[in-house]
Parts: sequence; C-alpha cells; structure tokens
Amino acid sequence: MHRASVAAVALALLLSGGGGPARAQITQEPVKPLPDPARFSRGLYADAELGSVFFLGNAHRALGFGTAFGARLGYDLLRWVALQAHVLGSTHETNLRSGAGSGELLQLYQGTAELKLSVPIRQIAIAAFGGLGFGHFSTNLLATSRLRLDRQTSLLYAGGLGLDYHTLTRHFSFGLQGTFVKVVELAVPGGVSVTAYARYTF
Amino acid sequence: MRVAMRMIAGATPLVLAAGCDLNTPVYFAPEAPVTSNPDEAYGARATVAVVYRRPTPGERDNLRMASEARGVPIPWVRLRDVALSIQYTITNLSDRAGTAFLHVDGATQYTRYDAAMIRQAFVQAAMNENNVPYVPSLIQSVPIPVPARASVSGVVREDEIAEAALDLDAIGRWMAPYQVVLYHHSSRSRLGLEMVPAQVELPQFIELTVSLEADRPMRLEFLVRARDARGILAESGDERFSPNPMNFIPAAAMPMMPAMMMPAAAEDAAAMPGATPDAGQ
Repeated sequence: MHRASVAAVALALLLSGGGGPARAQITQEPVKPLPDPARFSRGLYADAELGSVFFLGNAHRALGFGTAFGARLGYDLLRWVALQAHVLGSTHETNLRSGAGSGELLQLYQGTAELKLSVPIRQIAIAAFGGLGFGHFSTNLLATSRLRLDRQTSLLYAGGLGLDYHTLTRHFSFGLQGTFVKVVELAVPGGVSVTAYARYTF
Repeated sequence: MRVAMRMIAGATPLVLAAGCDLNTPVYFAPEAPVTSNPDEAYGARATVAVVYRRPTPGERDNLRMASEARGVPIPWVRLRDVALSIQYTITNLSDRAGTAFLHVDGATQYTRYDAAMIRQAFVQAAMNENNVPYVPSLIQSVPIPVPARASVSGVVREDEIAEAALDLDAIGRWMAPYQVVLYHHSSRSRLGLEMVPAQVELPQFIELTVSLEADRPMRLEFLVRARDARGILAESGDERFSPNPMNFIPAAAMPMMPAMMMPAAAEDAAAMPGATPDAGQ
C-alpha cells in the first residue's frame, strides 16, 4: 500500500512535466505569395478579346459604336519585344443621313501584323504596339453614302497602348488595349478600338 | 495534339467571319435623289441597274441544255438566285403635310415594263390625252402620309419584288392580260396566269425604276438591296451581262401594224436553239 502510494505520486509528478510554459520554434519566415516574373511563361501566346470599335469624324454618326471580337497570336522574341498577328471583327449598325440604308448591319474585318514593345513591372506590363494590315467592309453600303468608300478592302495602319496584368499562374494574364486604326481608303480621321482580353502563354 | 486543337479552336471564329461574306447584300444607288415633279403624271423617277456578270461558255451551254430539257427557256438571272428589295426615304420639303405614292417598274432580261412609257403610247394612239386609261405600275404603294418637314422610311420587300417579277414575266412571255395580272396577287388568285407553264423558271429584275408621285415638293432617296445566293452579281473585272429586253406595249396602244410588235417575238428569239441569254446584244 505504501509502495503503491509512492509509485502513484512519482507517476503523477512525471506526467505533470514539471517544466515552464511551451514555446513554438520558428526556423524561417514564410515565403510571400508574390509571383516571380522570371518564372512567367514566355514565347508563343494567344489571346481572345472583346470590346468596341468606333470611328471619328463623319463616320462616327454613320457607323456608331460596334461590338468587336478579336484574337491574337504572338511570339515573345525577348521579354520586352514580341511579334503578333491580330484579327478583329466588329459589327456596326448604320445611320446614314439619306435614311435609305440606315439600320443595316455592316461588319469591318481587320487583320494586322504588329510589333509590340512592353515594359514589365512585376505583374503588370505596359505595352505599345503598331503594325499594318488590311481591313475589309462586308458590304458596299458606304459607297452609296457621303463617305464614298468605293473599295471594300483597304490597307490600314494601327497603333496603340495596352496594360497587361499577369496572374499568379505562369500562363494566364488579362489586359486592356486601346488602338487607333487608320483605314486608308476611308476619308475620315480614323477609328478607335477599345478591348479587354484574356491571354494564355504556352 | 493539344496545341493543334487549340489552334483549330482559335481559327474557327476567323473562318466563320470569312464565311459571313457569302450572301452579304450588295447595294445599288441611283445617281441622285429624286425630287417630285407635280407636272409629271407618274412623278419623278430614277432607274437603277442591277449589274450581273455574263455567263461563262460552260454556263451558257448548261443553260441551253437545261432549257431544252425543261421545254421552256431558263433565264440566266433567276428569281430564286437573287433577292431584291428597295429601301426608301421620302422627305417632305414643304411646310404642309402631304401624301406620296411610290411606283416601281422595271425590266427582266426578257421584258421591260414602264407605266409612263405605256401611257405615252396610249396618248399617241388615242390622239386625246383625256381618253387614256390608267396604267398601273408593277408595284404601287398605298398612300404614304408625310408630315411637314419630316421624313418617312420604308421598304419594298423581297416578296413584293418577286410578285412583280412573276407579273412581268407573265405579261411579257406568256401573253397575260396586264391589267388582270397586276390587280390580282398570285397568292390569292391565279387569274391571268393561266398561260404561265408550271415548270417555268422566273427571271429576276435587271433594272428597277422607282417613281415618286406627291402632292407637295418631296425628295425620294432609295437603295436597291441585292442578296446573291449564286454569285452572279458582277464584281470588278467581270464582263457585264447586258441583255436587250423588249419594251412591253399593250396591243390597244399600238395604232399601226400591231402584229409587228407582238411581245412574243423577242421571247421566241430567246427560245431558239443556240440563242444566248443576252441575245440581241
């Protein structure tokens, strides 16, 4: 009985630890969740865009704001320079002064080859691009209007600025772009496209 | 494989966009707007030619063989290949409300119908302008009220143009009485169309003449809209199809030797073996 009591007391003392308060051991600060731009994918990329196209001058009233869909295929030659091929189609509803011909749908298809220069700042990149290509109006309706566009297909020049935001993944980024387009055969100052895009870099 | 699928998915919208160019409308406009002239019985008018390309030698041979097989001449410009409509705007230039009427005449590759010209023929035959019957146009609008200093827009629909093409072909090639045919819609009554063969292939218009008749000074602006399902509208570089349609003049308006100007003469020439769709050029 006496031995059992002593054993019980000894066991209780052993289990109670008999030491001071517990402390966690920190060996290393956790890694901050910011992506490393050096690890972003580079090379072949493709993006899809959605936005609006409108013209300046006399064509603004005639063509209004058109809904635009586009796609781009490009290749990063270096981290800050890329070559890309761009196609964009926009649909416009006409509003001609003569009345006859108003309310018709007219599409403009643009295809350009572009050079893009960008300045990456961590996850954000600011880009400027320019190029030339061809534009094609789907009908000859503008030839019957005061705009007197006799040729449906025309050479065009394009240039603009873009803002790109890279996600935490290696491949995906999103952005906004504004482009000025000059359709050579169309006697107006030019057109502007504003689009938002989603890009995948392979 | 994954890269190829992604590229196909990316190219599909481009292909669809390019395909959208098929059957997109082509517009034909008159040289200038039409301003109403109260002194003209059928108002001021403008004519728009719808420009088609000439058939190739192979197409011409196929057309000839098909015509022989069917037993009736088949036109190069067929109604079912090209759909035409007219979009118009009438602007009242005066300070008082007015009423306008739109008249549409035209020509197929076989026959031209011009109400003003027919009326003139009646005048010459009758020697008395007061004794001339009213000559209807192929298409006549209902009265169009136009408020002062305002514009009214409208459309002469594709089905209305198609009905006019049927009427003109019946009058020109199949001896239909023109007044009976023009005052009856074929969907309601086949009166006057008894001589039109069941297997006939109807021709489409190659030109349209639009007239504005108004009781106030008014201006008419219009466009002819063509949808080409067969690719026969002329593009740059194509040779133009230029037939020589016969002018329809009713027998009652021919005071001298009506047999020499029978409308059937030109149609017979076109139906002769070896005749080309633009025979007479």
